[in-house]
Amino acid sequence: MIITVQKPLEEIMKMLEDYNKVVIVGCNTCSALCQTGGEEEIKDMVEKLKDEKQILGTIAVETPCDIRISKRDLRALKKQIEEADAILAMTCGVGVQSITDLTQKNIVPALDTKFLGMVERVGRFYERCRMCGSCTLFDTGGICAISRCPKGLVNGPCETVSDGKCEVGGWKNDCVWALIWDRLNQLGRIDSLKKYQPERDGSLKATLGELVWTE
Amino acid sequence: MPKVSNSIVGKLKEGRFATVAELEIDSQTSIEKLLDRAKSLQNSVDAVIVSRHPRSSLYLNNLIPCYLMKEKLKLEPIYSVDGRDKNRLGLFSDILTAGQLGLTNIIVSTGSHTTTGTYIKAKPVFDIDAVQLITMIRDVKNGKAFSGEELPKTAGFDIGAVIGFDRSRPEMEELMIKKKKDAGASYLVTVPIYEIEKAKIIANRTNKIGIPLVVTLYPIDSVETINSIGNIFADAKPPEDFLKKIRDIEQGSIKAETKSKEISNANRDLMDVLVKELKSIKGVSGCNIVSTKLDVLKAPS
Repeated sequence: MIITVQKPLEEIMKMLEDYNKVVIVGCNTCSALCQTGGEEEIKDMVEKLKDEKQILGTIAVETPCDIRISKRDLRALKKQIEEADAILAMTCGVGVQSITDLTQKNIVPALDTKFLGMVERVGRFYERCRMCGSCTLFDTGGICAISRCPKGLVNGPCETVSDGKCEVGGWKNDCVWALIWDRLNQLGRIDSLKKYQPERDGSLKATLGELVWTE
Repeated sequence: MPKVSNSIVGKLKEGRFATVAELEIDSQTSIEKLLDRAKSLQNSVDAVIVSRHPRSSLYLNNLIPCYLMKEKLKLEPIYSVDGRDKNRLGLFSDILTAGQLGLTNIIVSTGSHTTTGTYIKAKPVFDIDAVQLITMIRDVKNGKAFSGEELPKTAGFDIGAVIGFDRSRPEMEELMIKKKKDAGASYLVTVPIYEIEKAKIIANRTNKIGIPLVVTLYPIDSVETINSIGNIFADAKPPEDFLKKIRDIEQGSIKAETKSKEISNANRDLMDVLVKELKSIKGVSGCNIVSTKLDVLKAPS
């Protein structure tokens, strides 16, 4: 799940200050679950903006990150989008860019995209994947050191671990390497931690991600 | 008659107690001032670690100070490197340059996270970790770059590595000690500790694995440091009577210069007691005393 938070209203208003006619586009999947850009949040945003802006239309697209779905759903607001000065996108960064590509309009992002997270329950989201492109979860018993170790170590833990806690956050959070140790111990696979792990391939995330299937 | 080594690593391997001072060169310290401080330690220490951006603060680069210490003062410098601020290319360049300058004593750590320091918005790198960095230095020593290229012969490096203390999972700590030794570390240096019991526990681990241990001691220079020490080093518990002494001195009505001297004296007394105890622990081969803002701190012999 892509986890988002709403930007402060002052920041949104600052970006909208030169624009009067606005269309609001939200997301009915990830942003709705995060309660940052679903139907309810769109209604809430209309209430906040209506005295200062002319809201021409609103829509919560099912999955704005899929440009085909955005194209299909945004047809319903074709005229309003043409007339709008700007689109306020209550979606993750992918949704913002998908809408930009489709409409070529001024776009104002209403959300900050935080991370790819696990949902424990609504309001409790935890980063679990950095999309590194080279998954080594088998080696660490299904616990990701790349996303959960603030230093991204592969030969952890570092020297600052104390009582199984991580220095980042003042030794309140679990050191992920302590968790990995416990898990591999439980699975009888502690030997895999003894192996030297070489440097990771930095080129995997150094260029623009693209995956195009070929015949 | 066996040759008695003058180098720190030689001393550690021969089982003679080594004394190291660690100097921090913050943004207010000039290189001249650093060299003056190092000069005052010439007859008291076997080597000087020049730290690199400890606690993610603004610090002078440590390569040139190490070189000048070697050239001008004939002191044995220990060049500190870590993975926080540079990628493998930058670190490799540092190692290669250090070798060419004759700086063959290197100490490796992971590096404290940027968010635990003063400039939390700086981007942390951590392209390679401590074990990988030790391996890189070992490979350079053996004439090989991480790319596989052959390198011109370079001076042999002696690699130290920092180790932590975690009482919750002793086998995990032992694994890291062994991993660092297998990667090429020839001695280990602890994070700052105050309790002799901790030193005994760590020495027990390093002794089992067969690698010399140097214990780091961190003098307290002010009440401000007392208040922040828990944010810098987990589980750091300096003796209460010592802390009271520092508070009493600082809050007393004597002149600032006298306060500074009395604080230094109080620290020196504590270091003397701790070092004496450390010398009696099997497996502890040396001590490393961090010099903070105390100008008059001399490492005890």
